Amino acid sequence: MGKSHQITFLFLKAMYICNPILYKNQTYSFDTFKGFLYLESQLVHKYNMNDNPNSSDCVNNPFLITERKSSNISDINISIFCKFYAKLLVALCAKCYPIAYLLSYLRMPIFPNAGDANLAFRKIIGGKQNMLCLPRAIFIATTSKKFKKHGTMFIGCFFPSKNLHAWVIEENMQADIFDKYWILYTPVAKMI
Amino acid sequence: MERRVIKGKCPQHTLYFYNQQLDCFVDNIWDLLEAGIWKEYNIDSRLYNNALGETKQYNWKPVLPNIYPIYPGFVWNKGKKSLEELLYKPKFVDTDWNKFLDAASIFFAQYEDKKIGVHLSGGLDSSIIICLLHYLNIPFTPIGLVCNRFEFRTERVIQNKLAEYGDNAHLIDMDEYPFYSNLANTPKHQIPDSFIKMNDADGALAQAFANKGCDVVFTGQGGDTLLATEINSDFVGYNIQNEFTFPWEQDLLYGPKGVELVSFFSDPNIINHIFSLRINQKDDTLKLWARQFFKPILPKELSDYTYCADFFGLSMSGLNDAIPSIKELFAEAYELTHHPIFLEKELDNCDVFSLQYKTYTQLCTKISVAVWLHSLFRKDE
Repeated sequence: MGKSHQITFLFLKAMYICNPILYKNQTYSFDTFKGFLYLESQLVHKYNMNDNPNSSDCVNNPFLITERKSSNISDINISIFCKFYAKLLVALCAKCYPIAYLLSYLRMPIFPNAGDANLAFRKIIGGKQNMLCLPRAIFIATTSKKFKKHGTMFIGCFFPSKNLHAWVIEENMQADIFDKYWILYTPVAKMI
Repeated sequence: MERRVIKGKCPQHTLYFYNQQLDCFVDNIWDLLEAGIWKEYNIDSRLYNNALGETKQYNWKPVLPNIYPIYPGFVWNKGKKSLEELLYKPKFVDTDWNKFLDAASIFFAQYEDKKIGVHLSGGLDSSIIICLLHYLNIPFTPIGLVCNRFEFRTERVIQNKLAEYGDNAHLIDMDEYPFYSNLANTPKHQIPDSFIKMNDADGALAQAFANKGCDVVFTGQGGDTLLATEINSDFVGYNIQNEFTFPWEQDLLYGPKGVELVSFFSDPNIINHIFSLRINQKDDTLKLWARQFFKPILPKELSDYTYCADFFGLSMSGLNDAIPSIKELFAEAYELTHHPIFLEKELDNCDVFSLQYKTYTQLCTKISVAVWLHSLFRKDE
């Protein structure tokens, strides 16, 4: 069976937290199943950006983020399963997001931490990955050994546009050392 | 009844003009504007020039007949009938940390009889100036614009920290002066200018420095060029007046209040030192070299982190809120010029975030022309 028997598929108590955020008389709500951002004029059951339950201490204060000492990308071992899984996530996020959403509940402890999982994804897919933040974040969240206890995946919006971005913070470290844009986005949902 | 141009009171000292018909240079063109030359302003050439960009002014098309604005950092070449750049080629100097500090001390000593103010933006460039003044025990007043948007939270941390380095620090809430606000009260000016976007906020900042009695205000303008661009064998020099200064602000916001606006990084000696320290470096958009070199005096938030807010949200949010006033300005501009460009309906039911970049830059050009026209005919008290 090779390495595949070492992968344990766990359906643990992963949880999405999505609270509507009020910005300039509009409520922004993220539908995690459909992957849409909704805007409503109704001001009900909302939070403002200063009191955002979708966020965390180190997202609200990025100076709490500590520098990640990255592994060498060439030292990252990548199985055939991981290659298939990463490419599957890219396709699903583009064509059939609800299935990617369901896969995000998986916990497959493959990589020692989120940083290595990020490097693995970048190595598998290659090229510029500006539009692949979501499949990358889901890949990291579902394959890092430390994510279950120490990680959070965020989905954020750059108000007042509807531009979205996804990223992972684990042990107060940004998983993706190449991501310089995450600080621009206000969390509208998070997965723990 | 035809409307009459009312001459502006603030001289634009950094701007002058070449009159090709009379073959002479003139300080201003108010007489010509009063005589009606504004009717011949070529908006299409302006759109072309804006697309080329501020750094290629030598290739700009003329926007007024026989009148060529000579912008800071350029001279008029009569033979070629075009603008030429004035470039400063830095000199290599033997330097290190202590020698750089000596150079900074010499720079600041020029202003020892003056009350010093410094822009407190929370960015690296102006923060370097603040930290140098603090390190050298030179008193100063830091004043800055505070943006409460989420993406500016890292700047706010630094602003609050560095405010304690100076005396009588003052932070102005930018929510009261969003981008594109109060366009109808933009100071009178002789030719359209893209700096109108932040005029209200910058005006509040200038007034705050004046209220504190500052004689001179240091800015970090030019830091993006000096600290980040590649220095290789093809390097030809810096256009100091074009890239390292704020002519609009000096002429129309600070100058009338008796305050001198000075860029620390525009000083030739400072340029020589930083050029010599960075020689053969590649592009450094995160300014990693500067964060390391100035680490002894910078807070760790600036030396150990490379966070930088993006102004996109601020710009688009301000533009969106200003649409009603912009439409009024466009209506007035059409009444004055009958140019069909001011009839275009791109602002109707407009989602500014879906605008293509080219459409956005064209819109900005149109706004600058409409604001200019409005200012020419406005009665000021």
